Amino acid sequence: MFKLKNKWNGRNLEIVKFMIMLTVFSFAVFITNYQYVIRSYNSTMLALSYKYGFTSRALLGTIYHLVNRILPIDMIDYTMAMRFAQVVTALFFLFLLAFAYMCLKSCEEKYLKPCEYLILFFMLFAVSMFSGGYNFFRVDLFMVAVSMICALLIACGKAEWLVVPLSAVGVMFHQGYVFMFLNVALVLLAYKFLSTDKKVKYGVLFFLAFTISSALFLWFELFSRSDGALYYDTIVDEAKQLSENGYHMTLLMHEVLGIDLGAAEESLRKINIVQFPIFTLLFSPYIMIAAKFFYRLIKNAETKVEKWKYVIVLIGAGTMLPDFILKLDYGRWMFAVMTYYSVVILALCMMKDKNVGEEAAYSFQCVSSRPWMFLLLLIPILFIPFWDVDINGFVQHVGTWLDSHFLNWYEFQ
Amino acid sequence: MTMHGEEKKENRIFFILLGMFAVVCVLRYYDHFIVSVNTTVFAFSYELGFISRGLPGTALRVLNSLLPYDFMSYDGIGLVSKAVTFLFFVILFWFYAVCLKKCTERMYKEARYLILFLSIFTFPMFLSAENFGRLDVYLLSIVILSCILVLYEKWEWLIVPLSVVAMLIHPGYVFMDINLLLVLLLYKVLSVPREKRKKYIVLLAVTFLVVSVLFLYFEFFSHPQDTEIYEEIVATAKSLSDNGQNYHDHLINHDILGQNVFWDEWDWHIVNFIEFPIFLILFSPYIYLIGRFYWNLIKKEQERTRRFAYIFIVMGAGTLLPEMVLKTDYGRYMFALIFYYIACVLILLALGDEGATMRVKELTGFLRNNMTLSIFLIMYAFLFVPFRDFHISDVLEEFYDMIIIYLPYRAL
Amino acid sequence: MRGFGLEIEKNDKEFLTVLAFFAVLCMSRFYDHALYSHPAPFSILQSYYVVVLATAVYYAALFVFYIVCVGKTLRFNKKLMYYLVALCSVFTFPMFLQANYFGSMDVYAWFFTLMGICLIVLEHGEWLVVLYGLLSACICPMFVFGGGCLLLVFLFYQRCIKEEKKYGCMLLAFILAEAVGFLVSYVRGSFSMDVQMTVSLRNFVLMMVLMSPYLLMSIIYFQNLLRGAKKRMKMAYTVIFAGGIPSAAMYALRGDFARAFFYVFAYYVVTLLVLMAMRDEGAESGLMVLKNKILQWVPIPAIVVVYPFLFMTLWISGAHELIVETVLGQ
Repeated sequence: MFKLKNKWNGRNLEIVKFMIMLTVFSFAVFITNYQYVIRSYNSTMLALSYKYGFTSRALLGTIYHLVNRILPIDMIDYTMAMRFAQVVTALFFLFLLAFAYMCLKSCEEKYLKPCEYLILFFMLFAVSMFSGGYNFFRVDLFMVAVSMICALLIACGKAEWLVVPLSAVGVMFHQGYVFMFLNVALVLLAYKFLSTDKKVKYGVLFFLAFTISSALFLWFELFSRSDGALYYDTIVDEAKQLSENGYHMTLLMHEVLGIDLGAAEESLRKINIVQFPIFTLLFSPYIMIAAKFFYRLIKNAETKVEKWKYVIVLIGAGTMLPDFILKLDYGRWMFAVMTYYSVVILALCMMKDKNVGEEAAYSFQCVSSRPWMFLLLLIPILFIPFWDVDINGFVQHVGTWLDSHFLNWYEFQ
Repeated sequence: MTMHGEEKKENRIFFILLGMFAVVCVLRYYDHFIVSVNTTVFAFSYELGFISRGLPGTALRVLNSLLPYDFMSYDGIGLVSKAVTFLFFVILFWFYAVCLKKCTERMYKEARYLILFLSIFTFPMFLSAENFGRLDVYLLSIVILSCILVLYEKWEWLIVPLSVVAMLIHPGYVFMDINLLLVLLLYKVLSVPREKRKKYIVLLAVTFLVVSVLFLYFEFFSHPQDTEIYEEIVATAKSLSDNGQNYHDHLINHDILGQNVFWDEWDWHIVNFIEFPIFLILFSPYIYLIGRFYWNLIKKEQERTRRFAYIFIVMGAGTLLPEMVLKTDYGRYMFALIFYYIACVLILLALGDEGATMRVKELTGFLRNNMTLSIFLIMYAFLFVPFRDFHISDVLEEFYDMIIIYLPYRAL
Repeated sequence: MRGFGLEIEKNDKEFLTVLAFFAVLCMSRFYDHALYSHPAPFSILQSYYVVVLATAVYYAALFVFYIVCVGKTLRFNKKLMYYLVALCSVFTFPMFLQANYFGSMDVYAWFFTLMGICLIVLEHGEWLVVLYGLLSACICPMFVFGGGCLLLVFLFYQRCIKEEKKYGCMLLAFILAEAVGFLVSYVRGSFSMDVQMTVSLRNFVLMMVLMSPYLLMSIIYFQNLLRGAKKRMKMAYTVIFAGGIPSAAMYALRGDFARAFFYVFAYYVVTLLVLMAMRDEGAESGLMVLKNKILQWVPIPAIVVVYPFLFMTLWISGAHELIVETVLGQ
């Protein structure tokens, strides 16, 4: 009995209570955002496979085809694709919860509260994003999972060599991984490189992860179109069966035949230009908190090496720049940036980085000192779920209104 | 005494669960289909001369004339195949029961796990479209039956006629199945007291001789090489198939015309070349464990004759080598290999072999310390079943599809 | 302000300013720029700009109500009050902006009710409450069972606590006024129920299950409320507790689950606010116990406010529909 009591001491009990709360909350977020649909873009992706050439984005389809082979059921069908997506998404959410639990377990008691808030914040966006119809079962889910596994491995210091193959797997899910989520692993490796004595190990790991991912990226971008015309009809046929209501032709044209049909980019770019400032403005309280956190973190670092470490952590999200400049899916980029900072800071807390913990606790104290600060937890609800070209429904709503009343700039509707 | 009773009870429960597992496997893996290679073989009969694989067709004709049911049809073959597969399951369970009964009480648990692991591969094997009603199921039943006889040490002379029957059913018995029986006999020769040894030497020699003679005859002298017969067989084979059109020409070419079909099967060799290395990689955890077991078995044995027996057991699977070089059905060969090596361990346990008992204890000790790993190893095995014929299994076919596109060769 | 006995401090001003920003955010998120037709006694109440004005006035009334409540609360209860105000806003801000409810007669009725409650709390010009009751019953007869109960319940509460004859008369007059208003709208033929099928039954049941922790909270609260109270007060509290049931039951039975959800929560949260503003000791101690329980069991207490907002945002006010072209392929 005494032992039992000991086990449920303040800290453990706190974590368990938090996890129960988080689970219920995440479930509510899921259930309110879930729209019972897989977009044709995401279901068409399942028709791709390495059977038709070592092409980009085909890993998910390959896994799906393997599952189709192993299970007795015919999976080339929208209903089964839906089942598969539901199972995968559920597993992903369980993984997110497990990540939260492990993070809280290994971070110090003093810094528990800020970590809890950060986790709640991140979970809200992550769960809603991958439950909502726009991004339900998008490959981003797998990329986030891969990068978070990398972060876990590095933070726990176990089987760190796995980061290299995992990075390759991430790129094979979608070459955008290099810009969007590889930074988590690379920054954490660089951090470890600067803070431990095992310079060679982390140097080599960093080098390998970076080179292999870049090589795969270049391959997918430049050389990977094999003679897809041979299989095009088969793929289209499967894609039709896998989708609810017709397949996504642009995707197949691009991935299988190498024909680019993205003609409307210019008009979509305008959406970005209108929405990005609005979003930044509305998100400014959180940006300010983060900026203050990093400013103090870097300022209060004692040695030069430590300063460099935190500068790297701060600018790590810069790998997103090419995406911001060249591509359109700002909703996904925003989420990637948020994921980067949340996961990296949580991982640093897991590694018991004293400065990060102190600064997080300080920021938390500053935030909770004002009587109205809890309203900052209400506002994110207005922002979920994130979409793709339109950042989210809210910003889209405001942007459209702004355009129709003042700018008259959009070229559609 | 109570311990004894409890263990017995656990065994009974284990068999009930295993039976349920078998039922589940039947529901899950039975494809309700017989491919042409397994129907064509019933077109052969001894009316055409003493040809290889003639016995099943002949037996079917006899059945047809004795019973009012039309056995010379696709449905008839289906019925016979179902009966034989059922019989195979009965014999397999009998074999399991004998092994469990014979092995020492402290090895019950280990033996049960071995049986479970073996069953994962064995239950689904002869249920898939490719292998349902295949002659292998007859051969495997016969060799298991022979082993049971040897384990019981009763009516052991029966193994000679049984082997003859097996050879008449399919000469491939020499390569694929008989090794288990021969190795068991050899082990007996090396381990039993002098007065019993003579019996086993005679049994071993006679079995080997009869089988070799039959094999040589079938391989070189039995082909009628008659085109008239050929037409007739094709007609019969067509009438036996599922849609009245399919028949398996390689089989007829090989067994009736005596042609070398190696180059006709070149496409399938390609399949093997690609799939086999991948299979080795994917299967490597089991290969490592089994390899480690046998390595320790040989290395740690002090007694020379016993050591010799162990080496022979390991080498026994070498009979499959000619098949693997010349033929293409790697799915069946891989199954034969797995069955051989695991069944050997079971038989050694049943014979109360000290070395094997110790090594199995060591291995299970290692696995029990890594519970996640052992659960993973049980689950992982399901990835490979059922084994097909020239494609080893579905997963490997998927990998084959991914790789073949990079080769200039695109026949399949 | 001083005249009404309101104490507005710097913190209160700060909080209410931020809340106003939050209200603006809510307006931009939830306002659908669409007016559907609702049964109305006068057609002018259905014209777009009148509705826009009415909704703006409704927001203003809400803020007046908040100012009164915050100003009347004791200083050491202020922080708790902020949370209650935010919780109230979670329900009241989005509700009448969504297309299905934008311009429904409830907005007018809510305006009168909030004003009436302010008067009761401030104890100034309470006779006006009778007029408000009449007006709200005329405009939105079904509101009698919803927000109308609020006024009725608090008049009864005042009657119990003050033991003044004035309140007894007022209570009777109010009931009479409601009945007259009801009758008038019945005679005028504007008596029809405004039912919107915004939320499906399945979602409603799910929502109720997921919101069950709040049932637990309310049980804890009312238990503590009733425990130390005198017999007379016990009756007042029971009436307050029972007052939320008619509206929820009515709308749930008619299938307007969004309204049922809104009314049941809005009713009880407003009651909490008013009791705190009236400095009811039982309510204060009951809320303290509840607060301590929440602090003990919920690591992030603000989640109590955030959680219902999820349902209000994504189910009641409706998620943004998927843009069809992106779902369909070719």
